[in-house]
Amino acid sequence: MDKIRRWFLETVEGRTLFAFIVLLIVPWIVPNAYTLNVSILILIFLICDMGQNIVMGYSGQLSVAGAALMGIGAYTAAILVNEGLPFEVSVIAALLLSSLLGCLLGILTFRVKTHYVLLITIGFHETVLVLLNNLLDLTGGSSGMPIRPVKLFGAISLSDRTAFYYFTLVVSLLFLYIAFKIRRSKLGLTMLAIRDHEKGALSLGINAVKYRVIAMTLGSLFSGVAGILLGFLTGFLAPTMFSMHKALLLILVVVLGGMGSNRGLIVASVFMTVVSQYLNQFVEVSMMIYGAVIIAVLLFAPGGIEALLATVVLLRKKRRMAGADSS
Amino acid sequence: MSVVIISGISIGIIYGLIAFGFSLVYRMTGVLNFAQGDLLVIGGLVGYTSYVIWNLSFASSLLISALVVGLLMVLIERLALRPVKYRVIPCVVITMGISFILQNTAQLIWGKGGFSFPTVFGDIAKEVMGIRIVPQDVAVLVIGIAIVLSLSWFMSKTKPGIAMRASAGDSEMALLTGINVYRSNTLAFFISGMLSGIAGVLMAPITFLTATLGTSMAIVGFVAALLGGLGNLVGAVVGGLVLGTVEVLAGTYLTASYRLLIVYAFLSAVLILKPSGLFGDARGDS
Repeated sequence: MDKIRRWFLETVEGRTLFAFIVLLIVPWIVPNAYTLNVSILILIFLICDMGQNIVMGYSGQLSVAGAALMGIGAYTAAILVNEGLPFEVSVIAALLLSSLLGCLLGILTFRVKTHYVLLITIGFHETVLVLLNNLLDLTGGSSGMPIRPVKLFGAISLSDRTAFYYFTLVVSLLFLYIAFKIRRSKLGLTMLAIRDHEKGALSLGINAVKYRVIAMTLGSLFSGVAGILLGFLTGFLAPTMFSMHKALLLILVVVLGGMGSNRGLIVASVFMTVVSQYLNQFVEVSMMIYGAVIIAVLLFAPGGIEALLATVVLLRKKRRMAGADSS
Repeated sequence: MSVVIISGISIGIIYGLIAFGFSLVYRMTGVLNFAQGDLLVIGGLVGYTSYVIWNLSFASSLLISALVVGLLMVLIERLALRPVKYRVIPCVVITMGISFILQNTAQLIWGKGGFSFPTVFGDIAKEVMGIRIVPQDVAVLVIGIAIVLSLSWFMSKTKPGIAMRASAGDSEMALLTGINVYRSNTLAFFISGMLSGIAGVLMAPITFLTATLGTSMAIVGFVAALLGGLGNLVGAVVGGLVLGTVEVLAGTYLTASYRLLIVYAFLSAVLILKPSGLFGDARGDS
């Protein structure tokens, strides 16, 4: 018994299996529908935070286009579904559109760096929001628009929360897997190299612009996926769901997780989703709290959660080695 | 027509002041201050409080808001930006956080609704020497030009101004000659804040003040600074004038509701065609 417990908690395979089992039984162990909803939100925000991490953490581009791209994905899918197209077709079209726009943004910023990228993406965000608010026939304007309920593969109704949970779980694990793969692949390492020392990377013959555009495209794909899921979860879309506020929260999560770290990001993302659910009660001061947190992290813990986790791991390793010495 | 052009130029000079503050701080420290627009809004709101609620004169409201925002800026520089050594990404994210805090604070103190600042010099067009002018616009123009002239005098003739230019050019060399570079940086932030405060009060009678106006104002100031070449101080004022005139002309003869989109179109065009701006980038990196 003790052996099984240790296998689950101390080996990599055991822990993965353990986490997987917990994720699978979530719909049965949560106390109410609200908690299940929050669990789905956690999974959805993991995807778009990951996307922001690819753009900002891996490749060092300060983009706030994340929320706008989520909006584009969500609105495109919703409009097509409302027109009567099948769910799968609408989703693919929406993903194509959002990654295409991300790619264009990446190309548009090819001559410029950091703060200019930020500026262009702010412009992009505001333009998208102006359009969402003003194209009344298409988007319903600021009063928002409802989405028709959909069926996955024509059989599974996504209005059922448990089904939606499993669907989101599959999608989000898939995208997390992709993000982890990228981080360890040549693609991801090249992005990190450009982020850390662009001149050095350039002198090795790396085409920095190309990798920035790739990062931007991938990031917008992730944002699009999250936006679509969010739209079908709430069954209703309004421009305020994709405000600048949301865009900055994406940045906050990446900074909190420790720029470019995957495990730090996961912790930060889950933490932020739960905390923001709680902070919804204090809308009046929530922006102030987020602002203060972001400044405090940068001033006092610039490494974010990743640095914290690394310290913990190091301490445990030291203790284990000390234990091995004494025995 | 003359009314529109003069109103464009007077808005332009306000934009020029914001852009000057942006460029000055950028040239001294490399920091791009995204909270600048929110500081401007705070300036306008402080001006509103002192002019409308406390019944002070316009000149003293201008002074109060300049001082308040200037000191706020110094605080920001000392507490948040100097500790991270003015590195680009942390600074941008920190000033974004500050912008959050300022916006929220403004909402808590002054409420979510907007304020209409009464016109100080009158907003009805008059005929003077055959040209139709609006007194408000002309007054803004005169104040703006006076500020720009006194700034250029300060930067070229006084000791702190020359020290600032020296440390902007080569901070290590300036340190060697005994200039207190840190003090110069703080001074740059203070001046930039004062300009935002003044611009906010001048702006208030022309636009409707709301706590969330800041983000768009930050972008406007940024675009103007970029137009003139980031870090180029004369260019910043010229960029502001160009942007203001174009925006007002476009707002009058095209559609008014898409005014901000025109600013973005301008921005994208500049960044794609000539990222170093009309007069070149002072720091040489774009």
